[in-house]
Amino acid sequence: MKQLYLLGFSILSIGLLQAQTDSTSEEDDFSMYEELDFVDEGAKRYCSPKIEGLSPAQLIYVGYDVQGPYTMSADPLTNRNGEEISGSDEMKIAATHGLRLGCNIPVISKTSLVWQMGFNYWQTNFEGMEQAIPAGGRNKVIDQHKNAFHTMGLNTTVFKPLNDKQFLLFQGSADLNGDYSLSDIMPLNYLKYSGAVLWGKRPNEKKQWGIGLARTYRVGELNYIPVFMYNWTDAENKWGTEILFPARAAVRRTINPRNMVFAGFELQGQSYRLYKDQNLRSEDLEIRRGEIRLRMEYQFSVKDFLWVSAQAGYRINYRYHSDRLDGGKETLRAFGLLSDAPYAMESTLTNPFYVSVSINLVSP
Amino acid sequence: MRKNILWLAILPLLFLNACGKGSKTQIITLNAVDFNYEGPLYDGPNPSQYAWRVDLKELLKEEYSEGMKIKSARLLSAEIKADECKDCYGFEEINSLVLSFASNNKEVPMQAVALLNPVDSKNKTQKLNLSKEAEITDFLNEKDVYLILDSDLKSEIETDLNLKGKITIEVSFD
Amino acid sequence: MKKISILSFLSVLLLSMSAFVNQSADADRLLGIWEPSNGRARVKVEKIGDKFFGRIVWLKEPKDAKTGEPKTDVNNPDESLRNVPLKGYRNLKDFVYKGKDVWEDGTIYDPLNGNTYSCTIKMTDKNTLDIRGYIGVSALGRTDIWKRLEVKPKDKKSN
Repeated sequence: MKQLYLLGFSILSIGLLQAQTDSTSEEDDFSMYEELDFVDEGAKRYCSPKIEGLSPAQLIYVGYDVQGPYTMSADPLTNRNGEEISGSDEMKIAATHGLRLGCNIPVISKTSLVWQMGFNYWQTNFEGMEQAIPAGGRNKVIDQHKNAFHTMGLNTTVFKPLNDKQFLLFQGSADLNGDYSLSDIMPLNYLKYSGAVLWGKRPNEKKQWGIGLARTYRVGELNYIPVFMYNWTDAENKWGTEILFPARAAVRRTINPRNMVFAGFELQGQSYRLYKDQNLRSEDLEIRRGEIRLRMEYQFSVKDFLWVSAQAGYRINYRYHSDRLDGGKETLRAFGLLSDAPYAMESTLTNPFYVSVSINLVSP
Repeated sequence: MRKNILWLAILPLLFLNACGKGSKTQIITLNAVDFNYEGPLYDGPNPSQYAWRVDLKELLKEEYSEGMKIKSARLLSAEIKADECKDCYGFEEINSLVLSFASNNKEVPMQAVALLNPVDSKNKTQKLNLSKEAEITDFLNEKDVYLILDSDLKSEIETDLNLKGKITIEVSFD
Repeated sequence: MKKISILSFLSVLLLSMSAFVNQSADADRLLGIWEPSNGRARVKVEKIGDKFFGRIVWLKEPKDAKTGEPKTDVNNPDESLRNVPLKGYRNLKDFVYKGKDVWEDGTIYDPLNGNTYSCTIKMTDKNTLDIRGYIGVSALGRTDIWKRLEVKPKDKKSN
């Protein structure tokens, strides 16, 4: 019994002692904090995927994109034997517009590995089909612009820091692009796969750069191109660059961390499968859309993590030709270096101004 | 923090104005909030905390009724004085002062409520600039509130540093 | 019979007290000095009342590049608090120990952009913390790994 009391007393004493412990009463020798080492000697430092001053990454975005009027001119469309199956045509597009939404959700987000999965959906509607039809009838490819074009896909990003200065970055995506309707989504064998691998360095908190290789449809058709990343912020956090060349590049002016202005360009492109029209489906045609967007952008925080991005600029057509993919087989032209295979139809677009607005939930 | 055993003088200066819909307003003053820093102290920010047992009965006197809640509270002023004893340190070694409120309730997070940076050592009383957005109502409905004063020291101090705060709060209640 | 009931009462009392003491000791393992993965700051975790708070005690770059003065909280959404020094700033606030090596209900503040995020701390081993800052739901977040620091005797370092 006596032992029990002793035990009880000692536990009570520990409790009282702990109750009086007050960590803030320790006076700090601040110079000491410079002389510290990791307790765990094997601890490794990893570089962060971000640098100071970079615009915040988007977790979820919902936006709308509108291009002004432009003219679409098409040469005759040929069949597999090179014979004309649809004549030349020209149509004034009054506007191209559509919803754009997506998300990028972290699956693993640790110091030693960041893995994100995302989904995106873009819709492109064309206004202008009511115009006069040429004597030979509407060009069959142009006629498909009465349908909305869709881009829907999944993407993934993996950031793997190798140490406190070097990292690997992998991005991959699988997209269904075409004039399919949402009630009749085209089969997954039309998926387009793109990706990029970069090796990079992050020499300090305000700079990261990388070099790598990308498989991309950004100019409309498949290409393998070198990519270069350069993100930088100046000492005063006023100016910076956000570059993933050739996909996009921008100079950033930071008014404050919640207000940023960008000037630069983005290369956008997809290969749209013409799927909806049963007759044309068997032709295995894809519109190789590639465009350069010269733009100014203003990003600002509306409240906390809710940001708005408003951009305006000039859309320059890079390519809008139609390609025939027999059996889904891609033609790798490599800007004419590997092949000069003809297109099934060549088209030109004049260049309009455009605006794009989105509301974004941004990442910590 | 050292447990504060020094008394807390509370002066209910009482404006029992009717404030629409039967709300009453009263000004309460915590007159001797001790922020004691035990020396030797190093340069840099040093925290001291004062545990305030919020006793509405004591604060509101005859206006108090069982189970009542404070409807709103607003910090009116926060002043800090240094010990005036002969060998005591004043404000000459202090760069800045930051006052925060904290509680044990997970729904009532810590808030910085006032600051002075830089401190003008010529003044015997430092009047802290109040945060324009800090919301302290919830603290007044807590049992225990911790007042934390961070003093950023210019250089090392061999002895203790004793500061005294005077905090004035306007409270409204039904 | 009476003796037995006193004994059982005391046993229950002692057991619950020892559980309380253990819980408190477990919670206090968070106290100490920690370094985020970017190595730019060192944070001292302290206890105020029943909660845990982390204070920046060391900055790799303590001076503002533009003014040459010690950095202050220039990005605080509350403009009236932008003059609060960053050294000594409490960037981890209001953590409560929930058992099983997890501290919750707190927030983490990023002085680089003035954002405050919900935050959960998990101690993966006694010298490593997973600090997860998130928006609304834990899935929308990012985890940083913080390592414990200590003063090492100079002779030990030289070995």
